[in-house]
Amino acid sequence: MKVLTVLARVDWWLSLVTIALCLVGLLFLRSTTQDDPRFQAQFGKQVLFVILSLGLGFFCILVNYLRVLRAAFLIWGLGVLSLALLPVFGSVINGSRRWYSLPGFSVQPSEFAKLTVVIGLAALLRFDRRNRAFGGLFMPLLVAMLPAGLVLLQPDLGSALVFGPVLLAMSYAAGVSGRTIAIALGVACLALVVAYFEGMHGYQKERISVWAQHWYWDATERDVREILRGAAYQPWQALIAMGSGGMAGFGLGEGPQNRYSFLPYRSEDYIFAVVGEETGWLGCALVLLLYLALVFGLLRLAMNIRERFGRLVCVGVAAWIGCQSLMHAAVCCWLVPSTGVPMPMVSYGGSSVLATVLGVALCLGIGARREPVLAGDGFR
Amino acid sequence: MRIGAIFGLALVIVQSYLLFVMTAQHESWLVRSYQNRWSFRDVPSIRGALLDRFDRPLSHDEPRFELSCIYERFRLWHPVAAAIHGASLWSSLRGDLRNYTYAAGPLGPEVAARDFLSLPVTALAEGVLPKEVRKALLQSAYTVLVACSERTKANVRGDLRSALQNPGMLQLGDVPGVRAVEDMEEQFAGILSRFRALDETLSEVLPPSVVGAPAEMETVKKHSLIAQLDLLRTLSIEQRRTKHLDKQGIERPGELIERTARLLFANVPFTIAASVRVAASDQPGLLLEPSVLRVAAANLPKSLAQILGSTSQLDRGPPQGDKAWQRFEDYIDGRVDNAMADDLADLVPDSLTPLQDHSLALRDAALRSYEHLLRSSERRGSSGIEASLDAELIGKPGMRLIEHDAQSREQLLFGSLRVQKGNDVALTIDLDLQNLLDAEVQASLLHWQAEATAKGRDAARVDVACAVIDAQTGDVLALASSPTELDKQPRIPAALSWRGNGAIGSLLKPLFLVEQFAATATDLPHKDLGTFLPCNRLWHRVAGQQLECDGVHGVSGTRPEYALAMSCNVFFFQVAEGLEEAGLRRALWRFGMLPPEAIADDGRYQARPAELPESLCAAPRFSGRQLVQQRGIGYGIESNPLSLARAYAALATGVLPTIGLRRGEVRAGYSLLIEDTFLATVREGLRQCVQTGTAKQLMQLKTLAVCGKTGTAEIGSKGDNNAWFAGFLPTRSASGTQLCFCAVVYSVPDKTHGADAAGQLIDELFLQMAKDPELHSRYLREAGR
Repeated sequence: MKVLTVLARVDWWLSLVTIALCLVGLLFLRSTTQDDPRFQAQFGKQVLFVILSLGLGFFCILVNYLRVLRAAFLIWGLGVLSLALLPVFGSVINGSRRWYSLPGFSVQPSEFAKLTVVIGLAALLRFDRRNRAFGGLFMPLLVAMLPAGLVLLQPDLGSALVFGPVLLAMSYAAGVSGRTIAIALGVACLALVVAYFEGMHGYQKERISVWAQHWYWDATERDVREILRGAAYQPWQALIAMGSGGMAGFGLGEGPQNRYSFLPYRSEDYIFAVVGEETGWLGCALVLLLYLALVFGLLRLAMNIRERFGRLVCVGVAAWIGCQSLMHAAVCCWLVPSTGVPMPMVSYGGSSVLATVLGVALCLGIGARREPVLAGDGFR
Repeated sequence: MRIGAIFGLALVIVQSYLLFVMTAQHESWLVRSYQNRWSFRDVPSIRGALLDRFDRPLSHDEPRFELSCIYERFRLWHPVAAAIHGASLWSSLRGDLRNYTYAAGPLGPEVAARDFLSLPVTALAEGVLPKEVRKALLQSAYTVLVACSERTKANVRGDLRSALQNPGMLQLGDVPGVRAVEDMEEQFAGILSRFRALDETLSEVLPPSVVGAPAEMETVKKHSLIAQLDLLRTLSIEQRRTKHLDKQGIERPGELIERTARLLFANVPFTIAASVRVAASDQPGLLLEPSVLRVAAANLPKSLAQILGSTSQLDRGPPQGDKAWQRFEDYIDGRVDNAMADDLADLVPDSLTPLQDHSLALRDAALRSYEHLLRSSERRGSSGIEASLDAELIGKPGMRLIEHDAQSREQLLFGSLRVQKGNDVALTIDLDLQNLLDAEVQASLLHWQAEATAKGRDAARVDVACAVIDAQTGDVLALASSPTELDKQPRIPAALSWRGNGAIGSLLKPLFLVEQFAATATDLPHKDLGTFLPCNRLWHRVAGQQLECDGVHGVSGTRPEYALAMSCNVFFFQVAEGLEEAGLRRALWRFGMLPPEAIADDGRYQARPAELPESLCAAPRFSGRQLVQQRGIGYGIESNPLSLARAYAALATGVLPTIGLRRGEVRAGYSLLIEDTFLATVREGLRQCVQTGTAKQLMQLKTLAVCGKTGTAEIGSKGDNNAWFAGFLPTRSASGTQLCFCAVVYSVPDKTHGADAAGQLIDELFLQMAKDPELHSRYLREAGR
């Protein structure tokens, strides 16, 4: 297919939503970094990464996704390898080994691993018949859980948790029955309970325990105040930021929790709290609507693609972005235990924005090359 | 589509919860946001100064700083602390349990640094040690390496990372690579020497406050930064916590002590504080807060310092007893109401928050905060003049409502309650005269203590005191007493009280002579002077006691001037017999020493100057069951030098002044209600006393034509005397003052008379005044000369 034809068939609404999310990210990143000299470099870096991501995304659209399909397992393997080599070559920052340090910037392979898992799973699940049986889930489970396990070892529980919904959504789209999915969900929940008692780090347990307690806290009690200064500090400050934002917020750059540095990691793990504080519920709703538009756009795209690999990639990317954005929002309002998950394309992080934009671009490319769906051709 | 529906459902849940938090709960979160960043900051008040009569400060406030330490920060970020804690932790992991300390020694900081730098890097590799222990060791290593290698934090982080990847046989000191271990130890020695220099500098600072400190902090023997940090180190290692009472009054553990700011040094002068602040990055965890110190004049004599009294912070002298607590609470309430009544709206402006309830809550918080400020750092006069003039001297502490960032750095000022400095109060005291008098009193004390010791008597019984006032105005110019303490317990100043039986002796004779004249003029009970019998030493035997005089004054003893000059007891036995006890009491009332009996008080009775608290003074009184004749020569009547000086001031001017310590105050004067001719007779007797009588050896006083009277009162059967001397200059000086004085030396040996001890003290005082051009010009140079 000619380049111009491809470009003409690209879903530009989805592209616009993606660009809008990137710009929203830059807007709030500017707000979070403007008063703090430690973070000022972040904005410039992020601008570069957004430009780079959009540029690479554009080229990604032009590449026929069948090439990606052919290299799917190689891509997945590279993703796993990059995670596996972290203990050897990775840098420790804030107690976690998640990054490769390169001159001037760092690369977080777990962000790319999400995309590689989507590609790997799509390549694996594209054969319809395999997925009908429960046993057919074993290989996809391996494809998703191996990188998830490596991410968990960094440790990065938040990113690891994203792999689960991606696997389930793609499996469901590939034809695995709802019953099987429900059983898998049940097993996952059980595994989480076991992990809580056996496998989790102390600080992770503490985060879950303070989350469970915070619903009935009296913040004036001395013991509670001590927890709020310790283990619960970050989610509590984020909740204060969100709650105090009200309907319309304090205004861009005016949020006190942000401006006066009460909100830690506000450019990464808590940027949605800044959105809430500075633009209120309306701003939050707008941002979530953009995600909604993106996710539904990707899913609509998937529905219109007959070719299974392309369709599953779209579902996988939609599940990844939807799940991660919702998790981030839920963490910021402490609806779930706190964990560090960036908001796709909005949070600071070159790897995150690049991987997400490439994921969307891949979907756009797939969409541009789709065959027309004719009524009654049996497409499910 | 189902996937989309699940996503949509999840999104609706999140969005709905957000709606609930951001709208329904908005106000409560907004209040929490305010609580996060709004706070009241205290501004210490400045207390008014006490000045002498020439506006020289006797006691004033100086800005100071309080140095506190948040030990957790200190141990994490100070290289010396990091080395000590790192080395201690590492040794405990090896089962060695070495307790490295800040103090120099075999386990001092140098040894700690050396041992810590020799820690094998393999021990820091992941999985070797428990995570928390590894984290603590890595933090210590990071702090020490950054400080000792002079490399950037990022470089050191990279060095550590590389070393951890290939630890081999590396030791921590080898990690930076670019510096030898010896160089790093040298660098550490430099840091340590700066740390010790700070300790040395701070050791000059006044002792710290112990408020809120754990009991151990009060027992730190050596007052030094190092000793206090060593104590905090122990508390940190033991994970000790503060304690507080819960609502049920049960003691509960609170915050870790190492996380709270502990006061190390109060009253740090600006110069030291400035050097600490400039090098703040060298001393992480050390905090400076402004405070105020009450400073006495450098040359302030002890006895005046005792009268001026002291201040104390409200929380450092908690009142004892229910009533005292109630008064304390009433005081606090009054201060809060007074300070905040009009200014609350300035402090918490109406426009500050759209939440009316929170605005009110903030004002409540402002009141509580101000109350806390008063309770925790407000200073009140606790004794002496500082206490009695507290209402004027006390300032009003200020408070500011500010917005601050997460590091507590002030960002915005919303409103403030202005600090109000207390009023300065100028006293009547002349610091030069006071210093001179104090020196003389001290010299006299030493002399008579030595005499007492030489005669095998108890030197601790000797007390010397003197009061000098202006007879014209009643201004107290100098008040000196010595000693000011006994067995390390403060003593009530002898100038304002009395010792032993307090007998005044013959000092009262001129007062009774005045009463004799007054009784004669008003036909009150008296004996006519014409009927007085001559003195042949012995008088009657009354109630088994033989009354006698010190000498044989013959017929001359019947002349009032002579009787006064020679202090003839027989003359005054007859005066007392004529006046009877009521007359003697009336005499003392006339001179303001006793409250009136059976007559209306015209206000002349003055137990003490208004500026002096009751606790410092003892008002004159009749005591015991003495014969009226004995009272006539000064027994059974107790008084202090200041009251007697006042009485003699009345003799000098004919008007009994109200004595006071506030400069420029117009105070009432009371006529003695007798004719001037009678007063002239009394003054002549007093003049003759110095010229030819019992005080004739006092040459300087003779030169100045001082009118004076000696008093020698025996103290029980112990053979000691109270030696008194009181008098006045005959005329005003060029500056308008007329000096009047009274001195006493308690417990001088038998046969020592008033003139020998107290008289000598006054004589020497005037001699020294004459030598001092300033004092001579102020008090001795007569008008027109």
